[in-house]
Amino acid sequence: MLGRIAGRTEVYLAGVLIVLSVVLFILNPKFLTAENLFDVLRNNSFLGIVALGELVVLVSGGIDVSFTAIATVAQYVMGVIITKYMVESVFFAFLIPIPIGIALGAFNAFLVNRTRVHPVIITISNLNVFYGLLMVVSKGRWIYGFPGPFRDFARLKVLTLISEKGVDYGLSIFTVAWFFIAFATWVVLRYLPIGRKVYALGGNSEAARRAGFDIFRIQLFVYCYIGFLSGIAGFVHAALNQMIQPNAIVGRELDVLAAAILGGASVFGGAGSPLGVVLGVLFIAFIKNGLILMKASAYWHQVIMGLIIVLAATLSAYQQSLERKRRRWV
Amino acid sequence: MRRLAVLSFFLLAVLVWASVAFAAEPYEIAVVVKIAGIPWFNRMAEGVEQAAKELGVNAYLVGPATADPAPQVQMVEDLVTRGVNAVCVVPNDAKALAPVFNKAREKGIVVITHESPFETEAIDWDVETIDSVKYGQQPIDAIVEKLKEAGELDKYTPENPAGFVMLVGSLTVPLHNFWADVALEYAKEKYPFLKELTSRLPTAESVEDSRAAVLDLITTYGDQLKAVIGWGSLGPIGAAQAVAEKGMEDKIIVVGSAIPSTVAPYLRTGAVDWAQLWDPKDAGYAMVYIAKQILDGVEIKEGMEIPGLGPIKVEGKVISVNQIKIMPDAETAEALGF
Repeated sequence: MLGRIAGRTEVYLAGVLIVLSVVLFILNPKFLTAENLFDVLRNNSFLGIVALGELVVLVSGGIDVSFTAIATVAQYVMGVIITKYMVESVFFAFLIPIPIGIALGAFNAFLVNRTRVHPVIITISNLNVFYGLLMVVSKGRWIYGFPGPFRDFARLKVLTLISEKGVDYGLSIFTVAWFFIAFATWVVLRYLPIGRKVYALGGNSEAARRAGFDIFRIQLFVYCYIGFLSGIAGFVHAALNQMIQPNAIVGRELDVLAAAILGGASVFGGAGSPLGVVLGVLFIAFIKNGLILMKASAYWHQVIMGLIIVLAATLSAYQQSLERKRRRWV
Repeated sequence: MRRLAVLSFFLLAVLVWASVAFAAEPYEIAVVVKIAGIPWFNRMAEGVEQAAKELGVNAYLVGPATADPAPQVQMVEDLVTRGVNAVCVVPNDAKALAPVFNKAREKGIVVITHESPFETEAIDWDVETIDSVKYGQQPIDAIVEKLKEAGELDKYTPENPAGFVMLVGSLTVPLHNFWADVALEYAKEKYPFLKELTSRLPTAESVEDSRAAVLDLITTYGDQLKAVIGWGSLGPIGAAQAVAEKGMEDKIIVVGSAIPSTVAPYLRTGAVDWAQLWDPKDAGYAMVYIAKQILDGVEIKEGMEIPGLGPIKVEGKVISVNQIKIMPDAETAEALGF
């Protein structure tokens, strides 16, 4: 039993994360203050949410790199509507990007299924189509000056504390949303029939086909799911930054893929868990935060970041191969 | 056979007509920007169009879909092959463009750059609408001014310095890093009670990254952090959000480059204290104007007047007018109109 738990990617990653935290704490005790941790969690909620969507696609054996464009289009349409009509209801604003995300995801799924072209090619093309169209229509114009409630919502906290300087800080609503989505994704993947089918398709697509699964339905689900989460993430990104720029999110695909793969998702499909991906995002977030707290020169940031990711990914891959070997012997 | 003869005659006629038509054409001046379609370069296009109308030249602005060196080089290459009279380029990577610039000049095409005063080997002229040294020094003066207004100036000494941090677009943007170097030097000489807390951070092209970095900086340095200078236009916006989140609008001075309409709300709340920039419209106009003068055979020399922008300064291959727009408050920023 203990052996089974100890061999899991999540446990291994959690261990690495704890060691990293202790090191950062020794270098600068401010790292482990509630205020800093709450800030880090809030700042990374956008990344955290889209990484969960990417996980589901990766588990199914697919890949989606167009989600940055989907999130951008979704948030841009929302931004245009709420600034033009000065929409006071945050809930209504929240509802705008979601159907856009789902629709664009469905478009991806349709092309992936019908053309049988590798999803990397389909989604890279669609990244350019979605983003290109947005640039043509929007002329790259930035959107800012949102209605008051939208500005206040970004500061909303589920748990509020007051620092010694009298400034309130706490657990942001966006962090809660991120963790709730992680939990929901876990439930879907683990307990719903569609979730099991996603693993089955990713594990062995031919077997899934012969077992009579409706492959298109599963693909439709995974690409719509990442579209759905991209819509939510687009909202979160706009609220956090109080500005929508068409070129702010596009280009960050690799950050998200790195976090998902670091968290144990396999590019070959069939493996990965929401908890692992949350830990993967936290791992990258802690390093980024820690580099400034350690007062490291920015010239070194990329080098250190790259080295640590390579190291973690190598160890993780090694550990996974050990696990596979062990399974074969059982 | 007769049909062929008619056809060749017809073709010849078209060719002759075309060459005559082209000969009568005004100068063709192409402005190639870093990336097409973003607000900054849309504003620059206004200046290019104005110059085209006033000077009677065929000037237009184009740019690649992404701000990468390769597609821009390709675009300039195509224009050179087509044989325009002048290319004015805002380079993504001046080094990568050098070979095609050399080729252009061999063909007698005038080559002008903007925002690239350090890579002038392969070009005819670089046109700047700011005095780059002043642009680097002014934010430091602004910080000292704000400290004075707050009555805190006497508090700081070289032993107990007021700390500041700088955000650049990336560690490889030549101009941002030039300004940052100038600012550091200037502060060291003139205001020894100012101290850079940590080396510049490469976040200023993103609100998100600048916000996160400044939050981390506040955590790390606490009350030591007195000021943030953003050299890229999104640095001050991100910094302002971090400062506002921590309720430190009165404690941390945020200054730097920012687009007027974007920064105005932050100047109003005091989250940003002072901003500066140049107008890309001026730059667009100036490049086309200079190109036209060269094509007309006018000698470029110190004191020559660019209409509306004043007399030029010439240093090496760099032509500059000083048109820094300073925004001490929201009203001034809004009045700039872009």
